[in-house]
Amino acid sequence: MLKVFVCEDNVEQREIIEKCIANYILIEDLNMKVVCSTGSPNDILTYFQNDSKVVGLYFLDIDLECDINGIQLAIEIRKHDPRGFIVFVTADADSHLLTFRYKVEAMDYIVKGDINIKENICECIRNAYSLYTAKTTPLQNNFVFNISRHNTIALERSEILYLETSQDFPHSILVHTENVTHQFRGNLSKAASELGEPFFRCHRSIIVNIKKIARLDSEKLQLTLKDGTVVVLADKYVKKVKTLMDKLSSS
Amino acid sequence: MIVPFPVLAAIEVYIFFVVFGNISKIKFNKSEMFFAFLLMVLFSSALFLYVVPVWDIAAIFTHAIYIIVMGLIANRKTNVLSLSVLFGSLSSVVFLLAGYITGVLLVLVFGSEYNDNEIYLNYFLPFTSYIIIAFILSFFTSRWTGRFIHKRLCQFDGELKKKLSEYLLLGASITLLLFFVKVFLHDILVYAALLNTVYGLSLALYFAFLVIAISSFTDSFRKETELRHKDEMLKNLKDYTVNVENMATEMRKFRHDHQNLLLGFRNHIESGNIEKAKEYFQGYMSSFNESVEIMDSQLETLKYLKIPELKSILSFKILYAQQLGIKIHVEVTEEIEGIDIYELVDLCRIVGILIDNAIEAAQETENPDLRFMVMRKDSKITFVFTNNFLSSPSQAEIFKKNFSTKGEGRGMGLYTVSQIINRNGNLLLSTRVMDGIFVQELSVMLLL
Repeated sequence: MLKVFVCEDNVEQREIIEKCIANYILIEDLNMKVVCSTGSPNDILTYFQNDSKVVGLYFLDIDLECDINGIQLAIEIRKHDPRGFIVFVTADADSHLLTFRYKVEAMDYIVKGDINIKENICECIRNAYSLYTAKTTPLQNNFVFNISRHNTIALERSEILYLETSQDFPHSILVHTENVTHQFRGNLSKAASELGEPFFRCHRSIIVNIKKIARLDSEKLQLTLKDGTVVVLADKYVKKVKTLMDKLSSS
Repeated sequence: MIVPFPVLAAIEVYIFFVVFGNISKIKFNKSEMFFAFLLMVLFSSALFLYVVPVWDIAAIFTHAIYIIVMGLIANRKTNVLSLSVLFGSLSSVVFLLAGYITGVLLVLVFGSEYNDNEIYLNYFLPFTSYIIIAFILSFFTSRWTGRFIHKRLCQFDGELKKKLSEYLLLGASITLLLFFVKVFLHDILVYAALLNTVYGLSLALYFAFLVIAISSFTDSFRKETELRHKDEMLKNLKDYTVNVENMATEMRKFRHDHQNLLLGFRNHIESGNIEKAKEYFQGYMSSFNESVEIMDSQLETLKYLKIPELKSILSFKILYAQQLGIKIHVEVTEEIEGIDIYELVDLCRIVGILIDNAIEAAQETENPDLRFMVMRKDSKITFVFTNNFLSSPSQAEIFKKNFSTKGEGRGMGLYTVSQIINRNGNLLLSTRVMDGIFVQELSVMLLL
């Protein structure tokens, strides 16, 4: 069951939100329940003491008249419920947009006084519920780069397209994934040996994920990846890359 | 004669290539190299054989050509002409110096008959020993010189680098000139072995002096840059203070107005004139938004940032963006402190570059949307910059342009960023394009 929490110090607002949620759950007959609707963040935190394995959907006001604000509350919630869905309710979303997304990895935010507030709430419930019920926790196959003694970055192997360095900066690695490019200090040879299959160093400055290759052009010595990026390929590795690709497609 | 001129020229050009490669640290492509090689060999053998039969004078012209050809090729990669020519003339200096020392050595070992060019050309042993010793000498000298020069130059970028390489070029040119003065003297004084040795030694001394001069010169250069950097920071902080003071004044005015308004209200309400009160209220509301706008300069959010260096650069950039009419949202919700002092210089530079890029890209759009946030997560401090943009560069393109092609002045400063990350293992930069927004996250480790 997905548990819903509401924390809003304005009683009228709280009732509007609570009613809207309850109605939607009832109409759609979802396996959800509002377990805590309060004006004080401490109530939510004490709830965790009784139920430590909670996965919740949280509607949090930012300006709480209390010693902690909504963002700090969200950070506390994250400690107990890292998978939970946090939605902020605020009058001024603009001033905290990045904090929502990056600091507490909030799912969404709702603007108070918006005419579509009810629809927005329903949308949030729908999204959270479908994410909650979809049991797709894909097999994580993280690769951890040790950039320096304390500095590490964990990346999902299957998302990495290719890694590169440049002539000018042989110690600066770019890791290209489908959405993000990470840049940090590192050693390509070390990365190549640690990454293992299906990664292959196809050029002095490139390590490619064989699974991501769409096409091999042995004349121009180029590899076209599935997202359209073109990377270079060294003459001597053409055959090796071909066999690796064949091996992968046959298995 | 046992060695034909073209072979000699080819060997000479080859050594020059090795020296140049070591000094410039540029990897050339093969076809370019091949043509340059051919051109230089043809030119120098033609010169020796037909045009100027006097050995040392021909050398002047061949070296001039070497410097020009190699300088032009290098310039395609470095884009700084003075730097490219500097590589060329330094190569000449190293090359000539190595040849010179070899000559002196051979004379010392085998006697004064080795002080004659003819002997090297006509006998096998003198020839090979000369070539081998000269090659080894020039190889190691050039490698060392290359490292020295790059270590010195990579502390600077842009204009400063150009300026510095101009100075260095001047030094190298003077050295070359000294060599060639010797060439003419040589012809006048005709084979005076002792003079030759003394001259060679004094040249070596001169070279050592030059190295020391360059070291101290670049050191003072760097100190000056740092000083200028500090000055700028101080200025930024002053601007920041002035702005905060203005805000405080504005706030006081606002409170004062507010009090007056409430008093006015009370009068109207006490007299029971609701219509008047309504009118009064609306009149006030229209001016209210304006005054709030002035106070909303986002600087106040920097109060949690407890690192003056960062505060200085950020407040400067925020004010700059606002002057350009760009709205910028700043989010600092928790206290940020504890960044190692040694990280700060690198960090400030990268932050400056990233924010400049964001401003530049957002400026092109109709509704610029800039956001900036600092947060603490785990044992890292993360800076997030987001901006909208007009022409959408794909992720790969952004880096292709700035990462793999050399050359400053390409606009985005990511070259410098790569340079810093290349040596600093405490940083991590992640770039993405998400929902039409360009996002850059810079993390720096807190040393615990």
